Order: sequence, then structure tokens, then C-alpha cells
Amino acid sequence: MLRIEQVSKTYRSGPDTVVAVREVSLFLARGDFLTIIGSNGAGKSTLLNLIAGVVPLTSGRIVLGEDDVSVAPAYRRARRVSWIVQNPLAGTAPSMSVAENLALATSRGTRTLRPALSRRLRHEIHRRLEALGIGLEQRLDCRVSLLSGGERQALAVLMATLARPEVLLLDEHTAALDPRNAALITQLTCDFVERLGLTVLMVTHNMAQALEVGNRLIMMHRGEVLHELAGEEKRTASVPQLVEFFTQREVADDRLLLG
Amino acid sequence: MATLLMHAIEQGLAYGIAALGVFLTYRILQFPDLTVDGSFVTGAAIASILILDGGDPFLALAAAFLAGATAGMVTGFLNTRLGISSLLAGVLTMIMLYSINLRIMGRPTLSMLRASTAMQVVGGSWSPLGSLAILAFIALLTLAVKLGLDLFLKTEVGLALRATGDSEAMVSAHAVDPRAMKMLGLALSNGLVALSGALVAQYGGFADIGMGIGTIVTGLAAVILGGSLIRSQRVGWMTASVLVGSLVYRMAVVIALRYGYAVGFQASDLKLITALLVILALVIPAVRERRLRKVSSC
Repeated sequence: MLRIEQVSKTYRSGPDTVVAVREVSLFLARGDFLTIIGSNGAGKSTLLNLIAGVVPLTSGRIVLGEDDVSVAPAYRRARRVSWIVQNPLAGTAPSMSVAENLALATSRGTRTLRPALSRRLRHEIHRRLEALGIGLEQRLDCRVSLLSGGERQALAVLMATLARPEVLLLDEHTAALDPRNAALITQLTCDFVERLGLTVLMVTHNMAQALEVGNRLIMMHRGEVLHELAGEEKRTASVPQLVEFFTQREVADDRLLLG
Repeated sequence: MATLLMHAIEQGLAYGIAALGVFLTYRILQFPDLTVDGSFVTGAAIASILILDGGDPFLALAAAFLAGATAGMVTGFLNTRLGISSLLAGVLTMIMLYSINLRIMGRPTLSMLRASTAMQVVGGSWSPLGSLAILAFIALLTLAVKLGLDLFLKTEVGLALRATGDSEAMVSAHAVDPRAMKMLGLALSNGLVALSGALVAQYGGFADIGMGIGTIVTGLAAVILGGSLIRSQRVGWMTASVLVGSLVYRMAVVIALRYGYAVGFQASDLKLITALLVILALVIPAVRERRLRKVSSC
């Protein structure tokens, strides 16, 4: 499904070079749900940005299905890859209504000069929002800028999955929310992932969450993958074990351990 | 006074199309586009030269739109492909257009007094009510542009364009190329501005190389003035507010030109006063917000 081959990203500014991601290789089969943990600067977000195409590769290859997308711009990969970022304000268009945002997300193909919000689509959008269970269906024509962070992120999750992508990238997308909303968004995300059979990469600072969801887990440090847990090994792992793993190698920071 | 008012309305509507163009870039795309000072004249120049050559005055309006759209795409190319900042890209195209407009016109001023402009065609056939017919023509054309823009902004492409103004990263994530949207927005905007220039030239019976100076500022004046009179985020109301802003602005100008001498104004002070008004309109909301923030942070 998704093959990442020897992918590296180096940032240069003058004589200084920072290797954000160093020769990472990963293979994800269809339906794999990979969680990624690691300290600040481990390269987790950069890795997701490389896959999304938001940041260009320094070297390596990214293959999606049969297609090499290593140099494809983000908007082109977006037909098959969806991503949600941490900032709830970044995933939605604030000046447009809830319904218009969803209409924008309905199709990732060619856009036409047909009215975006047909009566049928409004009906469909209403139904989908109702299924979220947070009352957004009552506010179809409300500007998104008037929504709360949790509501906006819920909308972003729906928008990211509406066009049925193959791969979903989650970059700490619950980190900016209060615990109750974070739990809600996690639940929503897992529901969609299961129902649509998506292949997921999720960056998180929360070790418990990293163990709780998904079938695979990798730990990153300084741009490299240190360790991977999968299958039975991941199911039986506990947070103290992960903490020990990190402290033994002295690669943890406070945020990871306290997160 | 009645004729004065009618002229103000006609001008407000004709310049209102240019204000809709400025609205599209400044408000929707969040792209302050200075190309308009040049593309307004380009529209006037193309229409005038075509009409003086005996061309159809209505087709001349369409030709002006296309010429303006091309100018907008040049700015779009400079910005999205060559990476030149939005302000500088607009200024560069505007300066290029100055030379190009002179090339089109052949000299700095073209008179169409004896040519058959759209106004003469429309007004002439309705003789006694000619001036009313001209007003109706300009009003219908402006209304058609407004409604067309409203419809467009609600299409699939229109939504993508509006979202691009909100966040380029966000539209990329939904498989929209933000660069293409900027090109489209700039083309449409400058097309409208040039259409307005062609209409104003036919209305006034002349084209002048300096007639576009300050188009961005008067456009902004209309956008900001209208936005403070009609505070709505709905597309239809927003475009309506731009036209209302343009009408109010033109009426203020007509009144100022007519009676301003009493307080010592000259016609040449107009641009200075307009710019000062725009500065005020831009600063007042910012100051008010700062004050609010101070209160809430205490």
C-alpha cells in the first residue's frame, strides 16, 4: 500500500545542516494503523509531512500503491492521502459555512462550475453530521470561525475522510484539545478508520494512546526509527515498558514521559 | 441636483464593477493586487480603440474583460511561478501595463465623442428617455456581474477559490492547487476591473492613460465602506455591500466636487482625501480591537 524507502530530509541553513529524518524505511499494508512516538525533534512530524508532500524529500522514494509519488506536489497526493494537523484552526476554512466546508471536501477530483451545494448533497451532509453526534447538523449554515476547537477538529476529521482516501496521516490531531474533546476526536477517528479500512500513520505524544490504538508502533529518535512493536508484542506492551525503553537509551524528554 | 444624483449613481455602478474585482482579490483571496491601476486603463484603452475602429461597443466590453484577465494572469504568474511577492508582482504588472496601454492607445488620450459607444447606442434609440435608458443599462450590467459572481463563488471551483484565501495549506489537503486558484482569482478580478474601465470610458466618452490611478484605493474604499454598512459574511450580501459602498463613495465624491470649494477643496484633492479615508477605515477596526483586547486581558 505505502512504501517508504530510505527517505531522508536534511535542512540546510548556511553551514549548518540538520538531519530531520535519516534513511527511514517503512512498509504499510492496506489497513495497517501505525502509531509513532518519540521525543521532540525526533522527526515524526517531518516524516508525515514528507509523505503528504508538504515538505520535499532530500532523498529516498515514497511509493503509494503502484505509483512513485516522491516528487508529486501535496495537492496531487491529496487525492489519495488525507492529513489532519494539530491546530484545529488549520484544517477548515473559517470564512465558509459548515456545509460549504464539507462540500469542498466531498470530492477530490476535478472541480466543475456546478453549484457546490445541491439539495441532495446538503441532505447527505446533514446525515453525516448527525452521525457525529455533536449537534453540528443544526449549524449547517454557521461560519466555521464561530465553532469551538473541538467542533472544528471533528469537522476536520469528517472532511479528511469524506472523499475516502487510502492513507490517513494524523499529526497529534488531538493534542490541542481538552481531554474530553480529545477522547471524542480519537473515537471518531477510529470509527472512520475502521469503517473505511484506511491505512493510518498517527503521531502522538501520548504513549497510552499509542498503545491503545493501531496494530503497529514505532519509536523514533533523531530522525531514525529505533524500534518497532507489532502484533502480539504491541498488544501486550505497557506504558512503563515503553518508558523504560526510552530511559535506557536516554532519548526521552519530559514531554514524552509526562504526555 | 437630480441629474447630479443620477450621474453619481451611474458612476457608482460602473466603478462598482471594478470594486467587485478588488473585493475578489482583497477580501476573498487575501491578495492585495495593485495590477488594477493598470488593468482599468487597459480595459478603457482596448474598448476605445475598438470602438474608434468602428467595432461593436458591446463586444468591446467583452474584449476589455479578456485583456484585463490576461493582465491578471501575468501577475499570477509572477507571484505563483516566479515567487515574487504579491504586492511587487502587482506593481510590476501595473508598470508594464502603463507602456502597453500607451501602445494600445497610441497617445495618452482618446476621445470617443463622435464614435458610437454603448451609451450612445442605448441612449440614442430611446431618445426622450435616453438618460434613463443609460442608467438602466449600467444598472443591469452591474447587477448581472454581481449575480454572476455570486453564483460562481458558490460553485465547486468557487468554493475552492474562497478556501484558498482562508488557507493555502488547507486547500492543498483537499486536492486543490492553490496556485491555479490564485491565477483564476487574479484573472477574474482584473477582467472585471478592465470591464469597468471600458464601461467608464464609454460613459465618459474618452480614455486617458491616467484614469486608472488609485483604482485600488477607490476599490478598497468601496469594499471597506460597504462592509461597514452591511455586516454579513454571506456571499450575496458581501457583493451587494461592495456595490452599496461604491454608490455611497461616488455620491460623496460628487457632493464634495460640487460643494467642496466652499471649504477650500479642489478637485485635485480627491485622491488625497480618498486615501486618508481608507487609512482611517483600515485603522479604526484595528485600534478598536486592540482596546478590546486590553480590556479583556485585565
